[in-house]
Amino acid sequence: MMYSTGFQSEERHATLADAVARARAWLEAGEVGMVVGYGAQSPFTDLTMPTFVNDAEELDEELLWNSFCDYNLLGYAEMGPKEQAKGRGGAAIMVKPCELHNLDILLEEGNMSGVTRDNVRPLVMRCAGVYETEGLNAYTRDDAELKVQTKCLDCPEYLAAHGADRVAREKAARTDYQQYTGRLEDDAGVDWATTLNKCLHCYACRNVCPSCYCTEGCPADEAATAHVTNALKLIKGIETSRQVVYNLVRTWHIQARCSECLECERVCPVNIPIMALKAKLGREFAGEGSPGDVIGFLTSVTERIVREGITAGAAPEGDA
Amino acid sequence: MTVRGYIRPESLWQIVDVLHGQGVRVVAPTLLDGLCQFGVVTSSKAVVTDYLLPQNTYKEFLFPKEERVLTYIKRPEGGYALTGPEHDFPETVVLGGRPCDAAAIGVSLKAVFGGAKWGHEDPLFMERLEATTVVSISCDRPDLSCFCPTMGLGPDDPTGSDVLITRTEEGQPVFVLEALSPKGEAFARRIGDLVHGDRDDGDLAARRAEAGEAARGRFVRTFDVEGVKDFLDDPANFDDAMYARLGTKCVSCGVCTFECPTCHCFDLKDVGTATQGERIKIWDSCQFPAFTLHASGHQPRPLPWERYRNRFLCKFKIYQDTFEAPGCTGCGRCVRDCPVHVDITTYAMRAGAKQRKLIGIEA
Repeated sequence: MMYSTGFQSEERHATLADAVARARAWLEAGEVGMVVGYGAQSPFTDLTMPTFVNDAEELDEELLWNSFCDYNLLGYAEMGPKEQAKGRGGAAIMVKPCELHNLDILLEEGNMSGVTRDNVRPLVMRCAGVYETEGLNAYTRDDAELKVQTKCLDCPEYLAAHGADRVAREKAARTDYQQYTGRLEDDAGVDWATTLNKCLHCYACRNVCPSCYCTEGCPADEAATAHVTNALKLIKGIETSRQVVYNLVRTWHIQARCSECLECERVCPVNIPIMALKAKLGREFAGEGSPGDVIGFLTSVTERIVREGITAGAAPEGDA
Repeated sequence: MTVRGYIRPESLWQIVDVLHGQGVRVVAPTLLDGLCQFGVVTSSKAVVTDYLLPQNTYKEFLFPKEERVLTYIKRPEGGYALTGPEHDFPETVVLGGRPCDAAAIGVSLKAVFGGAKWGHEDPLFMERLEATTVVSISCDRPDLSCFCPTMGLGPDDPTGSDVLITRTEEGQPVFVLEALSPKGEAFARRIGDLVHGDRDDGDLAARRAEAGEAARGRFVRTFDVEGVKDFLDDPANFDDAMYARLGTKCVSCGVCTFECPTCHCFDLKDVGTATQGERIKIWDSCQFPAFTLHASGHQPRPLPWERYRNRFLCKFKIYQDTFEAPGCTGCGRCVRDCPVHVDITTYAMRAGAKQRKLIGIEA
């Protein structure tokens, strides 16, 4: 999807010092009241933790930029409107180039997200890829085994930083990358009923998603999904679970508003392939007879997931 | 010492086959969705043998994520008929859990659901615990998130286990088996032929103790745990600036609570219509905005950092005060798997008096 909000052309900062200088200027001029950035986690690991800086003097000490800055700080985009409401301009947020798409979405939906060009100022960092941080806490770490996230392998910035040869080599060597891209095309190997029922309802995917900015009234909330599950049983005779309903509703809700930053897949404690589910819903909706009837569509998907388990490749049903 | 003998390395996981052959349900680390998790296994081939700590805890086999506790149906003559569903409590052996999980489940969750201190027993949990034999394997390679020695336990601590198996390090490695309870003794008899040697083997006991000592020396993460309790016991510190400063990072998901071996909060929900339906018991998390939401609409902990403060207080103060059991056993799951790498030990380091001096918060 194309956006014309212009964040893509935002200046890239080659070094942390450049970003700090810009943030300091904004803070001192009162254009932002807070800088949201990456900071050190603990003395024990290389991991980073979000940090919120109000004082220009603390910027140098608090902010960090390296390949361990894995998560997407635009989950905290609400800080912008909040700072603005306090009369302090907005918030500056450190972002990777791949996350600018999220910012475009937030701005496009500014009437709901509250984000404007004024109250969220991106500090765009030049990025050479970020590491998979799962398992990084091993007692002994071989730095040669560090690997970048799968999304980095398709990123133009990563390509520019490392060259086509290396990227092609990595893509060929990485089975996780091949599994990820393969599932987007064809989910035949995924038993959706079993996979979705592993969901813990921890809401990590929703809470880290920059496109999920609502603070209340979420249609994927526990109470809402419990009602839908109950209604499916009573009205349609479909015995499903809150887990299936939650995943379908949430994935559908971000269907056209997802930048594929893969935060949801990164944080899922039970490794649900959420992007494959999103791709599947997109394919099946395109094949539906009555594209206006979203509820009927989701009901029929739920029914097929429950009745057949593996539904990939099954011809989409006609009018639900 | 309660050494019963040793198991040869190549036959350790054959325990699964032996028990499965005897009709016992075995829960062990296995590969589910590309992650090492506790799951029911029926063969030693399904076991992940190279692991530190499975992503989930085996609490879900004693305290399921979701279970039905009753069904209701309206009687034609008025009133409701309530039926308690049939629960089964299959004989289970948890094989390959770690001492942190054993202490969390065998002591902390037992203190909560057994109700010894506060008088409410959860029969479902207690029946399942009764039917479960916990066979733990000592850790030899902790990672940077582990901190069980700080919590008064250790990589070879027997607390909460029925059997503890420890790999020796010097010379030819063997797995030393200690039986710590009558259930543990029964387990040792069950796997009979796999256990070799003599219960009075002093050399075996010494090598097992050495291995534990060596593993203890490999822990890195630590903090002043007594200082944390003193800090939390002082009501003046309830409004300490660190809570808002650190807690604003929290995204309010439930990963830390659902992966925590001592977290026990649950919700009871009625699902159905006015004429029939069921009551389910499901895991809940103090990090969710709907947790402690009053019917009036009042929420005593409206902000994510206030909810995270509650979690910190629960782990290091409330649990001890209410249940007289440790609220944290140092497994490190919440540190490892937080979506934004929020680290409960950074709170603890700021709260402990010694560290406060060290990092310059206090003189």
